[in-house]
Amino acid sequence: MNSLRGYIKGTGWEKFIAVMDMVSGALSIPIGIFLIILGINRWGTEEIASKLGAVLVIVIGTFAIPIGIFLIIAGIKLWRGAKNLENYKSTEKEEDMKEAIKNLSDYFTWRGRMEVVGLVISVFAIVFVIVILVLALWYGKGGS
Amino acid sequence: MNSLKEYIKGTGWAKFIAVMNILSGAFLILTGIVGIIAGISQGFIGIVFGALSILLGILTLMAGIKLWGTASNLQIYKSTEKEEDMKEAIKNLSDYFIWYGWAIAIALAMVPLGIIASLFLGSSMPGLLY
Repeated sequence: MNSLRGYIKGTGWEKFIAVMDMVSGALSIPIGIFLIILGINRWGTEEIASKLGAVLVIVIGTFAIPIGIFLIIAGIKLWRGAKNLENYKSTEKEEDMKEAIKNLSDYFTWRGRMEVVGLVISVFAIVFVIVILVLALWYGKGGS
Repeated sequence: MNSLKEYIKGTGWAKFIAVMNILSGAFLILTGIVGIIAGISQGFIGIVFGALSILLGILTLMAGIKLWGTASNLQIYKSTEKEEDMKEAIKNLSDYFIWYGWAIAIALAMVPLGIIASLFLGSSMPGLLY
């Protein structure tokens, strides 16, 4: 199956995506921590809508940390996969192709997990924002 | 190299990511069309961002289609172990990374453009903050 090397292209793009994943992951973690601290600081407000806003910020911050970790791991796996494919292109060693497939499979697994967490937080945020808006409108109309 | 099949896993995750890419690509194309329609009456910024959104949507959609193809080829290879399936999978995977890489590059280019557009809009509405 040595003719496989003729089909390998775009390893430069793979490395670019890997770097972008690692950088976004590295940014996501401190942003998550910042949001948690911000939410805790805003917790002391009187209004229920503001309190819910603080909860939303804390929850988004809590989810941003695992998203960042998953992205960093995915980026590392993709970088390794790209390196393995480059090595296979030059050496045609079977081991390099096996390692590439293993790393790329891991990449998609971690990336998929990250997308699931992202989806969950998006749905949660949308529901929460609607609840906050309804509460803000209710209290704005003089509800108690 | 038949033992390669033992290393193939996560094709379900790959298909999930492919579906997400296809859905977000379609959403971006629709957003872009709305942006262009709004831009015709509101100003050129809507047209520029609408066009970029359509471009980004097409790239993401294509990436999703290629990734779906890759996952399907790998699943077939796992059961048939035909060399042709692995070749197709590698070809589709390479294409996926090229399309997705371009999508990320366009999205990155949109960030400074967005900042410039915001500043332009802000300066054209001096009473906005008062």
